[in-house]
Amino acid sequence: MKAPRGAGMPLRGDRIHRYVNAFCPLCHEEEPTRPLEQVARLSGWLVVRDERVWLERGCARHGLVRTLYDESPEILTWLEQWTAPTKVHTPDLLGNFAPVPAAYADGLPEMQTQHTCILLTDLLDHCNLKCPTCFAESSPALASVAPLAEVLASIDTRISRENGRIDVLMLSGGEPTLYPHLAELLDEVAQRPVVRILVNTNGLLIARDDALLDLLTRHRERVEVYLQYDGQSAEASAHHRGADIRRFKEDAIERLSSRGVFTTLTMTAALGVNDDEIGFVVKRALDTPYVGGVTIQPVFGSGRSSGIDPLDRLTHTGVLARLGPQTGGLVGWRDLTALPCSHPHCCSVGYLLRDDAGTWRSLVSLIGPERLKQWLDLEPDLLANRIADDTIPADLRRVVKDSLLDLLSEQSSLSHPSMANIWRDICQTCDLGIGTLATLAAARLPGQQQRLRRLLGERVLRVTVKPFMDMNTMIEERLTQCCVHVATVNDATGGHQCAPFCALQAWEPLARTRLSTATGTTGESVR
Amino acid sequence: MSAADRDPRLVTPSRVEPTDRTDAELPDPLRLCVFATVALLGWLLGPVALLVFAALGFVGYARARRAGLLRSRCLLGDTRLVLAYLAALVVAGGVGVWWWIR
Repeated sequence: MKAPRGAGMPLRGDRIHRYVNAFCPLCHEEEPTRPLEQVARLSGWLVVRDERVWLERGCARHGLVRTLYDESPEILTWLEQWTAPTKVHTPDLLGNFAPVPAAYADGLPEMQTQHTCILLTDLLDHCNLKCPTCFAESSPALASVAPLAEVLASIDTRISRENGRIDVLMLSGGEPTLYPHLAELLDEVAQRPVVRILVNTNGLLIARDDALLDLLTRHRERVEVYLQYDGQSAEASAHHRGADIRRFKEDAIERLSSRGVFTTLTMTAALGVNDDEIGFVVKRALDTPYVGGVTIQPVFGSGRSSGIDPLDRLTHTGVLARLGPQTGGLVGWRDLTALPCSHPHCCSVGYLLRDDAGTWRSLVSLIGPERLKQWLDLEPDLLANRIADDTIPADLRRVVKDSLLDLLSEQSSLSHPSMANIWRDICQTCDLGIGTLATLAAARLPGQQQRLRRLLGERVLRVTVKPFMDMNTMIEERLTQCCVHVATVNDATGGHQCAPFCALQAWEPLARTRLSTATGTTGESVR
Repeated sequence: MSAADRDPRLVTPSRVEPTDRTDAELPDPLRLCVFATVALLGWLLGPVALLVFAALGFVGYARARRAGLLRSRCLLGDTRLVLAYLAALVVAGGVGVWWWIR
């Protein structure tokens, strides 16, 4: 008799989205201080199952490890359409071809594929709060303060490796407004080719300290405030900040707005805590002059933060999906695109513009997604047709493309000095129907710059979603294309260098090399 | 580690279980056996019906067994027993017809 015929192999029941290199969260939790050379890069994949995107990797010790990567495959696929060419970088150590993450012990390695869009500098480990979800694990008990000379040396090193310019310097910590040399630092940086400075703050001091407010106002053409703002409920404040400090937040917003200091509300959002307050934060920003941006960051598990369910958590696409229902359809996920300069999973961005009739509309809806892709040169298939049919001169097309790329990049915000040119090119050439904005952006009359600044502060809002990775969501390609780099100091040589933000927060041997921790002194008193 | 304290991130890769599936995936002509039983009752009234349905069932099960079906969902279980049963019915049907036309 013949051998019985089997039924053959069934389908897997899922769909592989892409193949990735990842890391084992269980190994990491067993030994968080493991030397970087001993961290294994694992084969894995992003897979769609039950209408969710899961990260699965094979660990030699633990077997198949599955964690939630993103909530919506549909939105993730939308984001992946928006990628643009990256820029050249200078490795901190030439010839550093070590694998991730060990490579970052010597700064940016050869295999990094994006330059530094944002240099994040931790000025001190000290903070006037001890937030339960702080990734930097700052607290009042930590007094380590980076010497001003070291901070400036780090900035100068980066300027030299960025071909003579830093697009964005983000001052962080700890609480950077407590830095004892903040005024001198801002004056010194003003003398250097640093286009914009962001101050990443909890706002407690801004709400009370007039001298600090004067300092920020004096530098407002170049300085923008990133203010932690977690929503309207006391529960959200208590969960993320350890106390109900909403009064301070509201005072800080009002004081910054009254001084014309551009402010971005930075919301840390967690599932079941304040994921239903995303719409409130967007509306708060729309209603407040000079609040030019909202950044929503799903809470991630590095640092002090814990208690995140790796199988059911708020993700990048989850935030995007909540935008429409929570803003009454004012802004939905199709109004945002992935930030073209970074990995498409790392950040999404959208602009809302209030037209002359008082209606808020998104840049994507005004231009149209297909046309936007054409302007950004993201549709190679359409190239042939455009060459034949497009009546717009090639040089003008290039100008608009560059303007859009600048707008949709990590370096942009409404306080960017070239913002007038960017909006002029986009508004006029794309015919967005925003007459006043276009007229002002094009004008060269005395005093128009300030009028344009006020107009941008009242009628433009930048919405971004920024999901940082912890070990449950970490994939290598996002580190490789990361452009948010934290200033670090080489353990062996003492030289200044930097490393991708998520890598530094996740791996303790890298976290030790952050500027404030590595060079900090405990003798100085903070503000 | 017990199943209760196993980390929920640890999952078992999907596998197939070939032994369970072999018989289940093969065609099981159960209804033919049912028809034959009904025909047995019919034999009391008409042995020709029994002969036809029992023969049909026998052929069906013979093919299924050649294709590898060793167990049937029929109460008799083993397909050899089912075949013997159907053969007995065929004989009974033939005898009945013989008696009927004699």
